Amino acid sequence: MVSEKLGLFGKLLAKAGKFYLWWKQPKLVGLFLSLTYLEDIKMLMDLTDGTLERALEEFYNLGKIAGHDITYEFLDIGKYVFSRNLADLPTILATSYYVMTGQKLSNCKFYPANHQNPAKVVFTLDRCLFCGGLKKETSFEVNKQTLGKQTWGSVVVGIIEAAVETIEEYVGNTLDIKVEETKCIMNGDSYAEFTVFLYQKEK
Amino acid sequence: MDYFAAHPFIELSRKDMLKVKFSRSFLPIIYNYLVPRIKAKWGIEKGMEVLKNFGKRVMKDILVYWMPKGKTIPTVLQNMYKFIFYVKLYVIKDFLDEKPRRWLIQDNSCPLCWEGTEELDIHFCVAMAGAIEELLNTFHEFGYTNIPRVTVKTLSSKAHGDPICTHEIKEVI
Repeated sequence: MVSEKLGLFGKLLAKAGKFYLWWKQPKLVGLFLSLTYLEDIKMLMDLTDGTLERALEEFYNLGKIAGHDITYEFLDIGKYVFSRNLADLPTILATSYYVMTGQKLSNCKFYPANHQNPAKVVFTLDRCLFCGGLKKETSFEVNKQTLGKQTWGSVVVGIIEAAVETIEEYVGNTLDIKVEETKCIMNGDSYAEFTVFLYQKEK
Repeated sequence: MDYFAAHPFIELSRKDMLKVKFSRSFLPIIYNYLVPRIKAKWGIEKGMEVLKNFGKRVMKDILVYWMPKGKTIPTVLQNMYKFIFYVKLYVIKDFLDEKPRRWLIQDNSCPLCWEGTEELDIHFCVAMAGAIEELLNTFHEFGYTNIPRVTVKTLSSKAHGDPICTHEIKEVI
């Protein structure tokens, strides 16, 4: 049974549970992940039209599939900290991010819908693990021009989008989810910021 | 609107990334989606070569920033697995009497053959063979006399239905 709103117990459980789940996770060193991430993108460039933008678009699609798979694995244990209240999404996102990375989100806030904008959650990473050291990369250029409409964290965007979709569907909310990396270090910003837009589905 | 512009930001270098841990589950899931595309584009034989080269390139990049300690193949490999994947290799057999020299690695916690992954056409973790080959040949080039030039071949993989992943290391004469 999914609760309407996370109570004190749910919040405490999320806080304590994330440490346990992170401790249980099989781990690897961050550099291996970021270099594999880089090679994945190069591979996708070879598999598509050779441009970084197209490869990142494909990486986003992979992230969507992977995000559903990863979240289904965690649904059973995660259901204790899920709720129908959108204002609880920052707790859910921060817990999930910690379970995967052992890192805290630097900021994560919920903004309710108003007459102009949908509800949204905005969060930032003060230590982006995906582009660590990438500015030194010489094998290809990553900048505003080569990224085009994409951002370096496109796969992360896909994973978060799929994860929030899966969770919201599980708790019974009918929402269209759209995630954007609204700030990207490789795009010239000074930190990484993601925005989760939560559109009410039209009846 | 700039929501959190005042928050301090730390830009990580590649050396910093050596001190950061990440969940391993992300890696095989993405790899799992790449393998069928690689097979579809290049076929099985060429696809295996592409995957092995993928592993070689990742290891080559890592070795610029970090090298495992050790002077023999078993110690170098154990230290590499321990540092990168936080696991201990199950068995490393050293066939001392054979010429050319041969070693067998048995890995029961393969970082790529994730639970539920099924790949019957190829040995899924062939990229690990590439990474090991690159690692050992770099040691050889650096003048470690106990480590010969080698080729590495994946003989069994969990994703292929085998109980354990096995990589064979053979000296190149």
